[in-house]
Amino acid sequence: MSAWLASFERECRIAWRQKMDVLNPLIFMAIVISLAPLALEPSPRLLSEVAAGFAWLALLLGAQLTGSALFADDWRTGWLKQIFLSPSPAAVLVSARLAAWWLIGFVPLVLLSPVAAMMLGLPSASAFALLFALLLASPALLIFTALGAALTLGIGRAAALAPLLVLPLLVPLLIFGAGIVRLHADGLPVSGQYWLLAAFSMLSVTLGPLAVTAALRLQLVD
Amino acid sequence: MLQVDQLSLGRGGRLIQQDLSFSLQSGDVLQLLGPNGVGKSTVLHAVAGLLEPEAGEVQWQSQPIFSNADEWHRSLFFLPHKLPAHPVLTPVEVLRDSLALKGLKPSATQIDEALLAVDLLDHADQAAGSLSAGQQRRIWLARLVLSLRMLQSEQLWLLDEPLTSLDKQAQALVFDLLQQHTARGGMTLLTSHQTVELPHLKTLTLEVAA
Repeated sequence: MSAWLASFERECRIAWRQKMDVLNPLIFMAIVISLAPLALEPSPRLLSEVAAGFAWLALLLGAQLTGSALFADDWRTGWLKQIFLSPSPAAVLVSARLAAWWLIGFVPLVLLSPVAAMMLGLPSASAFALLFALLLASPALLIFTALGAALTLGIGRAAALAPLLVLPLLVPLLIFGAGIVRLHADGLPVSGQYWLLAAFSMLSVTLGPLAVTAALRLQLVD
Repeated sequence: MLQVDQLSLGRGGRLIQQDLSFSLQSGDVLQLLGPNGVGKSTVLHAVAGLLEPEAGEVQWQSQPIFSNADEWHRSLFFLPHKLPAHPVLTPVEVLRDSLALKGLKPSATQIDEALLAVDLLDHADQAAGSLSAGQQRRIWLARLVLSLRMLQSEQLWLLDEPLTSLDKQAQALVFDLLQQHTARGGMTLLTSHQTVELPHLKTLTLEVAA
């Protein structure tokens, strides 16, 4: 447990020193949302209808910005090897890395999304549905992004490859997740969709760290 | 005792070492020699267990290393050729994080003493990215100092090119640390293109696999 906490603390410390990496996805999301009215017909009705979908897309793509390089520094500096040679299981230490990144990279994005969607005219009741859906989906988004980052380590210019690998896998999540706001606006029950997102995330959180660790293990020899 | 038994190693789909066997006893220092690309680093990775061999086995205290990974990882310190120093972290933090991976919490004094021993105390709170290549390597010499002082269990050092980027004085320090490690009964397996000035040094020249 102490090794887990130490790893978690290390990742937070590094993120604190590299604030731009944390801010970039947020800025990206703000830009996408503020450009939407210019790209589309600027009618309030249309914008309020597409707001939730735009927020999902901005979050999904924004998370890839830093996420696709999640392990790059640790790989380049050889720290990954030290992790795999620690008496603590590597999957435990990797899970600390993932938890820290969820807190630093995802929670601010998730919190910003409903605000951004409200800027496009999403009603506040729907914005809460959006927030809840994104919060439930975020662990799954995180794990899949991390898996892409781990698998493409060591390939030059992997930054473009990882999203190509990951985004198709996130399609079901996007369909159910983005649908929630529409159903909610129509006054239909959405608890089924919430459970489905939660199930996705539960599966990712339990098996994800093992899968990411296995993918990283392939990259230890340079 | 470390025993490497009939190890065959592949890299990029090609066999680069075949039937490699050697062993290390308490107090041994073994230098791997051979031209670039012959697989010296790969052998170190395989011994550490980071690379699965095509055939053969590495044994520690007569047990396969994977049978008790926990114990094996406590007994081992691996210094890769690449430097595990994140550019935004300070030498103090790198050392603290590295020991935390082994479950240890060194005091500030212990870390300062180790940094003093490698002449890096003046840069203790400077980001590693702003240090020179040689200074960054000295952080890891400080890690070796801490291994000697705090980690009695680290009986095996695997050092990949430990002398690279170091000035004469720092190289002498490495030899000194190696001797102290030998004196406590530790074993060292290292690669280096430089001359290692140690009494009782053993060498093994790797040949290109047929």
